[in-house]
Formats: sequence, structure tokens, C-alpha cells
Amino acid sequence: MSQHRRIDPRRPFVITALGRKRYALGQACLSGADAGAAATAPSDAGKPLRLQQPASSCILVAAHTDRGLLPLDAQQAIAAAAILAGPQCAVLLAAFGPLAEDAAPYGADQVIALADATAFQPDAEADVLAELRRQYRPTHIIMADNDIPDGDLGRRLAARQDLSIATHVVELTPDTATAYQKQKSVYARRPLSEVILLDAECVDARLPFAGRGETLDWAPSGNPASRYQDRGVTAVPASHLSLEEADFIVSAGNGVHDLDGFHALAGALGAAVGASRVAVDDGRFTREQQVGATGKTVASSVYIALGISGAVQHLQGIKDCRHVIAVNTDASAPMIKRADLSVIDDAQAIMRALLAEVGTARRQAPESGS
Amino acid sequence: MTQNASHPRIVVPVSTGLHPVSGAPRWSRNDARALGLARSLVSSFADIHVVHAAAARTEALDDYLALGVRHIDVLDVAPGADIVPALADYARGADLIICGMRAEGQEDSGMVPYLLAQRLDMPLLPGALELGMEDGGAGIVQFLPKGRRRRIETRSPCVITAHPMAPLALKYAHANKRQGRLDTVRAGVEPGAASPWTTVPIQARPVRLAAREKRSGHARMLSATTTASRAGTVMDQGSTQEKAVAVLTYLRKHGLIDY
Repeated sequence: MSQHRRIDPRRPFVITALGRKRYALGQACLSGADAGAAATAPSDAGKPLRLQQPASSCILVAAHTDRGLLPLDAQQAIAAAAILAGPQCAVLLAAFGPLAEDAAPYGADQVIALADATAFQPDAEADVLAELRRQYRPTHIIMADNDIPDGDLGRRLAARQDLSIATHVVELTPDTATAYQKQKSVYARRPLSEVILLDAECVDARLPFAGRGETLDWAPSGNPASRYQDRGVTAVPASHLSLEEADFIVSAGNGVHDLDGFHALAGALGAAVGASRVAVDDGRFTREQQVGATGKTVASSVYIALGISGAVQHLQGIKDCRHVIAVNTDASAPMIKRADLSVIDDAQAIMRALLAEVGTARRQAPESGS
Repeated sequence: MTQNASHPRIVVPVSTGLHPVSGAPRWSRNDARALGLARSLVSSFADIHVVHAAAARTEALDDYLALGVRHIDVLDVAPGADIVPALADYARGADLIICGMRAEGQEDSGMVPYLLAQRLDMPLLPGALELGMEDGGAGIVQFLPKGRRRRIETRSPCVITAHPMAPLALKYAHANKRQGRLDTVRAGVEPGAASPWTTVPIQARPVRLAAREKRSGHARMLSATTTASRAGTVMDQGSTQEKAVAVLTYLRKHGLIDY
């Protein structure tokens, strides 16, 4: 008698666009079902809720929003709290600045939005956190250790409230926090402190569960005067910055032939110039401008990809970009899947139209400087 | 306490660092930037009080002399004791305390400026690229990522931390190193609490904290091999101009352009 497992000849399969049978192990669809039905299976929807029981304790995450969105490091801090939290422990997010997105997919169970906190007032914000701490008694306060604003706020809170703190944490486990000391020559490890400031990339923010995302109606009791005066933020033009630091990037690929028009558009938008590998290899751009696996990894808020199909290596270089806009003649290019807004058209024509529109818009709003 | 804008009392605590590659003891780049910011306010290094708190004096301190400092006060703090009370006693009465953002070879936590400010009840301006003083106040240009800079002000006395990207105008000169001197100052010692940190040698890269997942092998393979679509808007109809307007509308809607 054979020990081999028998293969079911009528096992589930799908019919692809080419009319071929495709067997996919583990896929639970009827044999002979349409390929489209399997392809559109939602990947994100239907994640189970992490917190199934009423919460008896909480972990507080404090983060500053950026244009209404939670930055990557804030998402990682929330994910860290959600992973560390026990079955009866809620993740409480205190978001400073306007919050326009849902924090539940990142793992937050309760959200307190402090939309007014936009100016530099770290002493007032530390007071808010101290009040939250007295009221909700979080076991830990987790924040991202970007220098300003979150790392600054966490250190102020710890110094003022005399809390134990672990900064620049590179490895977090349910019991310990590890950071580098002595110029990264040794690890220093301690039991989890009350305030935990996480270095970048210390946490994998992809979660198999979701938070509840309930909005709590909470406002600080007092409105203490800040000891700081904020005289406003100025921005260095993106064209003067290196690609890694730029916040607005216009990038060209093989679909861009009109280089003068392209540079005119980048100048009009005040954007830094990037390029795909093909365009760089062709000599149209310098090697410093290459974005992707062999070039630079960028993390801008806006990335406009003109005539770039989006090879895996290129997508790897823009994985941290917040808003990707693709212009391409091919609607099935991988870049279109990655982009938040895709325009199917010739890059040259769009560049000309966009340049004209930007010029008109700038003339109509001349007072807004920049 | 003197509140004189032309002759402010400036204290710069410096620490010894380690070379990022060789690990040899040397000056800390962050503290050198703090020195540079202090130097931009006064006409000579004679007006800056440079202080170091440590159990044993090290050769690396001489590097600050080479950067132009005339003399350094070395606070005699017992090994294992907390340096913050000694530094705070030294800096009491200062108009400005300028620190680096983070040590480079000590605990490297970046907490000392905050503990100093808390102990002396001073405001703290973090991440300075440029520093200015007016009567009764100090203002900095603060570094923010993505090419943004912010001007903030507070009243003095205050603590300032210099950002690692601040320009370093000081030049290293061996002649200066020979001319400067170190003075040992007795410090009132408060025994520090036992440190909760234990150091361990680095044997592996840090492990990222990740949620345990219970997906099937097939599901994991799928997520690794396919690019998940962002479900972004695709515009393939309409004239070129309409598409360009759609791009600008998208940028405006998300607050990415201000025109």
C-alpha cells in the first residue's frame, strides 16, 4: 500500500484570463470559479479585533500627526503597544495635531485627538500627558524617538514626573528594552521602563489584528501658558535638499523624453528631482538622483512618478512615501497598483498640462508665498 | 543672576566620546557643536564656562582644548555617581546652558539636558542649528526633518541642545591643545541610584518586535509574492487638462501644496 497522499483530481482551481486551469493550494473557492473572484479577495478587511474583553489596564501611546496622518514611526509605536498589550489591556493613543485617518488598523483601541496642539508647546503637552497618566494609569508610555517632537516630549515627561525611561530602544521584548550604549559598542538592557522611546525600525508595524479605534471625548482640564513662543516654520526648497530628506519628489522614468519640460515642472512645484534606473543608465540623470534598490531610498510625503512602470527595485526605494502619484501610459504597470492616484496618459502631455495648471494656480494665489 | 545680553554667563557641559569606527576615546561631535553655538554668541572662549563631570580625567578632554577652549573645569564625581546634581550645582546662575543632543560613548540616552533643565527649573529649546540672544530671552532655529526649520524663543536662563546637523565652525589645532588647561573642581557628591541597565556584548543584530501571526503558509506566500494594491484612484478617462487638474486637486486635498 502506498504511503503517498492521493491528490484529489477535482481539487479547487480557478480559470485564468488565458483560459487555463490554475490550481492554488489552500485557496477555498469552488472548482472552476472565475479567476477574478479569487484575485479580489480582500487582504486587509476582516482582520480580527485584538481586544475581545473589556479593558482593565492600558498602554499610552503619544504621537504627533503630520498633515492629519500618523507618521511611520508613530504607527510603529502604536504597533509596539498593541503587541505588548495583554488580552485585557487597551492601547490608548493621544494624537497631538489634527488626525484625519482611522488609527484602528494600526492597532489603537482608544483615540484621544488633541487637534489644537500644533505649535511648539512641549511643556503644555507634557502636562497633558501627565494628566492622562493620572487618569488612565497606563502601565507604559510608548513613543517614537524622533528627536523632535516625540522624543523631546517623552524626555520632558520622564524628567518632570521622575519616571523611569528607556531611550533609543532598538530591541523590545515583552519584558525588556535594549538600547545601544558607548557609541553602539555594547547593548544595554533593562526591564521595561515607564516611558519607552523607540528607535526607527525597532518594530514591525504589520499586524494580524486591528484595534477598536474608539474616539474618546477627552480634553485637558487646564490650559496652562507655555514658556515657549513659536515663531513659525519655514521650509528649505526641496530642490536644495538631498533626495532622502526631500518632502516632495518628482521622478522620471523611461517614459519621459522632454527633459526641459520635466525640470521646468520640478522647479514650478518646488520639488526635488529623482529618476528610475533606466533613465539614469541612459545618462539623462545623475547617479545621485536614482531612486530604488541600487539608488536611494526616499521617504517623501509626495512622490510623483512620471513614466515609471515601477519595477520591484524601484518600489522598494519608495516604500516609505506617503502619497504616490503615477503617470503612465500602461494601466497594468506595477506602479499603478502602488500609487494612490494614477493617471493613464502620456507623461509629456501631462507634464505640459500640469505646468500650465501650477502656473495658473500660483498666479491666482500670489499671497501664499513659497 | 546676570541677565546681560552682551556678557551672558554660558555653561557648556562636555563629555568624552568614542570614535564611531575605531572606538578610540576622543571628543564628542555633538558637544563640539554645542561649543560652536556658544562661541557664536561671545567674542572669545574666555567667556564660556566649559565643564566636564567624570571620575577620572581622560586624554580625550584635551581635544576640546584643541578646538579652542582655554580651560575646562573637571568636576570630581565618584564613579557610578549621578553627574546631574554636580552639573546643576556648577551651572546654577548661568544664563545659558548649551549641551549636545546626545552623548557619544556614555549612556547615550540624551537625558542629561532634560534632567538639568528640570533640576534648575529652566525651559529647554531642543535641536538648535542657530542660536541668538536678546535681552532676557534666547531664540533658536530648530532643525525639523524634511527641510523644515522652526524659530522658537523662550526667556533666559534656559537650556539649549545643539542639533547634530548644526554647522561646526571650530578648527582643531594642536597649539591650542598645548596651551589650554584642565582644573579639577570639588563637587558635592550625591550617591546615584543603582542603574537599572545591564550591559551585554553585541552578539547579534537587534530583533524587531513583530506580532505572532497564525496565517497559513499559502497566505504568507501570497503576501510575499504579490504587490498588494493600494486601491488608489485610476484616471484613464477625460482630457489631459482634466487629469492635470485632478493631480493638483489631490495634492490640495491632502494639504501637500498651499496654492
